[in-house]
Amino acid sequence: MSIEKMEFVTVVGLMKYLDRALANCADSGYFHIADAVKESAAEETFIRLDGENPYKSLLKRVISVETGNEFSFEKTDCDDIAAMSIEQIEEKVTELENSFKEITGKISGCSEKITQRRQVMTQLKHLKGMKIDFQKLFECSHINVRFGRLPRESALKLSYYDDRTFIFIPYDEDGSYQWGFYFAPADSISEADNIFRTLYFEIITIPDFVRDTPEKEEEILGAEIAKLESELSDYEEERTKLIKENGGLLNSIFSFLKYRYDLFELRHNVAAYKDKFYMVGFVPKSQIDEFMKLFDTMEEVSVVVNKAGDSVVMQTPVKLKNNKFSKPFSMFVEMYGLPSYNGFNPTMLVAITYTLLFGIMFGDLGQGLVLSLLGWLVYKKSGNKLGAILQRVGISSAFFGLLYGSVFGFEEALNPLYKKLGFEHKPFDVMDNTMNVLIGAILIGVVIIFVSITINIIISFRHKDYVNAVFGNNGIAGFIVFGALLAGLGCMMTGVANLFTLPYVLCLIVLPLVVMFFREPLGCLVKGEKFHLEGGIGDFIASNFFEVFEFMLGYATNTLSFVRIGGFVFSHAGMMSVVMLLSETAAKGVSPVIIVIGNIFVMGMEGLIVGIQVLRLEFYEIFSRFYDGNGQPFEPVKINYDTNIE
Amino acid sequence: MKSSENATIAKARSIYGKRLKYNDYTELASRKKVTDAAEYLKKNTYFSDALSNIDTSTIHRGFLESVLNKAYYDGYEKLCKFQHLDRQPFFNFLLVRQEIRELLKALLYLNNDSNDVYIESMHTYMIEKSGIDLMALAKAEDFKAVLKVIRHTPYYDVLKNVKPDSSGNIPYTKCEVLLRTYYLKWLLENAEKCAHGKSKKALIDQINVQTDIINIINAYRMKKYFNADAETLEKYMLPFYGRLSKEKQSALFQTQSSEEYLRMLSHTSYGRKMEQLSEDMESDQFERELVKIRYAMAKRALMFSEDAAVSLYSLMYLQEVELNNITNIIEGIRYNKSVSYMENLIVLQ
Repeated sequence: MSIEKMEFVTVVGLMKYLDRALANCADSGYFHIADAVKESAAEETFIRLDGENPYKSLLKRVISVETGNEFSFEKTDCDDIAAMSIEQIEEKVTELENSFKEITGKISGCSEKITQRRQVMTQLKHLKGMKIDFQKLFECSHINVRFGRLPRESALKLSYYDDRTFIFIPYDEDGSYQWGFYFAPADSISEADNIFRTLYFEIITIPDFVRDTPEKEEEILGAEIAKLESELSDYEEERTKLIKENGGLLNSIFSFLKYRYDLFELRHNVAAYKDKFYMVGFVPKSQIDEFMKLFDTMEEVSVVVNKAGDSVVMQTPVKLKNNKFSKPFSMFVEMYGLPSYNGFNPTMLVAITYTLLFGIMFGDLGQGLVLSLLGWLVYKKSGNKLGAILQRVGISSAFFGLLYGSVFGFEEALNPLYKKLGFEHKPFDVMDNTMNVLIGAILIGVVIIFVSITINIIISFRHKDYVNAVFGNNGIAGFIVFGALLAGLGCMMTGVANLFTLPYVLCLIVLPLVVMFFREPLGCLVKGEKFHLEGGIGDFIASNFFEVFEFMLGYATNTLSFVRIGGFVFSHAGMMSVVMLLSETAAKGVSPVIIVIGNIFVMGMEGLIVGIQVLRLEFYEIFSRFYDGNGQPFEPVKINYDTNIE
Repeated sequence: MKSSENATIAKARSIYGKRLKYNDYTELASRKKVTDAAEYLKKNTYFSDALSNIDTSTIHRGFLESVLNKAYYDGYEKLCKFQHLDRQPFFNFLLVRQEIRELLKALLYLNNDSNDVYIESMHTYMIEKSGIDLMALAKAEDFKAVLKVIRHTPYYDVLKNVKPDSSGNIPYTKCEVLLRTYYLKWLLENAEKCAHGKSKKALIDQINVQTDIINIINAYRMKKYFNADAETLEKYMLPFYGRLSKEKQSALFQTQSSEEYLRMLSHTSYGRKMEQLSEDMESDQFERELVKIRYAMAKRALMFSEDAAVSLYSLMYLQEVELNNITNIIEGIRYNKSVSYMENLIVLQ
């Protein structure tokens, strides 16, 4: 439940061993590579190993082999290919390219012909009923004709051209267009063309193979399409056979090349000096021995291990170490941003508070168990962490549902159980304890805020950030003010005592506030540094006054923010009572349907809202007090067998 | 606020909410072909309805612009009819303006003896909407024939005293001033009757700014390109004074050069509101800066107004600017202009 300890590893060796060294790193699965040139910035003699990836063009060719949609590349055994020279592989690729190109060419040629004929058929549909013999029409030498469509709006302008030597005949209408044709004497067709162009007439080319009347042509084209479709199907079968025969080889070549391509890409992080390479990265401390063993047989390569954090230019990556219960909640932490390497892993805190708060706000035995089951199914099927979270919070809901005596909205269903256990009635009736629920919600908030402030104090001391640890609003001063105010108000409201005496106010409220006001100069004093007043004394007073005022306001609003926990307890109970009321007033047969739909609705809607609200409390009321989220994720290098290359 | 108009006000605001955002414009500008831009508009913007029956894969630039223009006018008509606002004369403002535009276009092309060009540029949707017989107007061969066509429209009285010169040339600028003056007078009179109190003030203020901007732009163009003197400018400017008093306008007209004109303008309320104003700025950039002022004013009026006349008048202006933005981009794509060039033409607040 902390942050995995890292080791900073430097791998140095002769250039000829670079590929093997990189392969070891990639195969290990736990080496996070860093930019060696950046690390060795002071050493001007180091150069970055840049250059065009030699596997790129061949790999691109392999990926572009026209296999169609039936085939997808995947990692496969490539020992046979490894035994070949690059020239031999190239030959194989050319062979594959040619055989696939030929058959794919036939397929696309056939598809094109089918599309063209289908387009013509669409056009002919608009000409149906007209006894046009295209052959005769196209053979006219003194009259030219154009088929196409005219926007309906443009047709309104045609009357302007009444005196021109062309005739437009519409034969069909379709949405915003009039389908038709115009004809004009051959010597004035260009004028007609110009006019129709300004009217946005779209000429539709009737291909040369259309020679007969629309009806006859439709018949001919239909038969042609059927023939072409059968041809297409044969070609596709042929390609499937080809894929079956050559798919294995294609995958082997792809896997071989992609492995080398990705390894070569890693070189961009490697620095070189004369005939030696210099590579740096991070390995989890728990796996460092295993990592070192990988280089045992490579005498010319040395691996130096240092404590992570020793490098001034490298930010140590962060790998969260969580137990089985808290692991899925790392999703929320990562969503906010990872902690810094020396920071605090809040996943366990999130796991506990999220589970607890969700359960309180969404307490129902039946719904909780259903939610948990759903979560289990989602996680099992898709591996989605949200499913695992639902599994956990569902059990918490079920536990609090047991406490509230609620099962799918039936508030009395558990009474026999309670009686058997020796209770007279349910342990906690939400609707009878309105004030207790609200006060309880605020108390939960107070505890969470105190825990968050304490964590901040510890972390800040660890980082020697005394301003934050002692003088800040989330430091000791803040802790005292918040505690003193709460204790004073609590005692006053319960009538125990009035703690707000002059010494109490002066020592526990005013003094810490003054400390918070002067936190920056005091911080400098502790560090032994000189404090520089920027912007003048007036500016200092005004800005610090408003900041302290905001801190005070923050304590109040943040505490009250937790009232929502109570609010959702009532909301859940209220919504379920509405569902039950509706089912009671409905006809007998309909009643179970209403209960089922109502439960699904409440689970879906309220479950989502409660989930979001708890996350809001986590991020705003807890994380904002101690968490920075500036960490860099631990991403070990690996070979990625996808087809995206750049 | 007339409670019966609330629905129109809300509808106008919701229509504005669907406007094209900056991202839409950049997406549009990044398209390589006009058909791709049309496809983007069809799939991603509120123009999808207008383009639903149009085959965008083959659409011509002119036809696309015509469809968008029609959609703009249809939207206006729909809003006016929504609560029968079109029964009040003011709400015909767009129809009157479009009729005047058609009339001016016809006169311009008639002077150039190019009626065929006029029929090309005519907004087709106006053939059925306009009180002028536009097909007859397109066929008119001289000014007398034009007057005959508009005999039964209010524009006849405006133009009846205009005399073409001996060779038949119509004094276009004079006609433009007369018709625009008529339109603005008509607009102000009907605004007075249509709106009351704060709404009336807001509406008249918008019309005044509109007039000022027309005069500022026209005077600048005439100074820059024709070095026009104060007397000429007074003759061709619209006789309205909004935020710029008569004295301030006269002082601007009396400047000796376009640079001095801009210097003096920078001390007026318009100059102070312009984000950029320098003596060496391009004419179209200068005009865009002024359009931004009116755009901001209309946007504010649409957001806060409680009067349908103000809302609709503002919305139509905001949509007109949007339409210009889209048209500029479409033309930019057609003529292979760079994305940054097209982005510079966008007026957006």
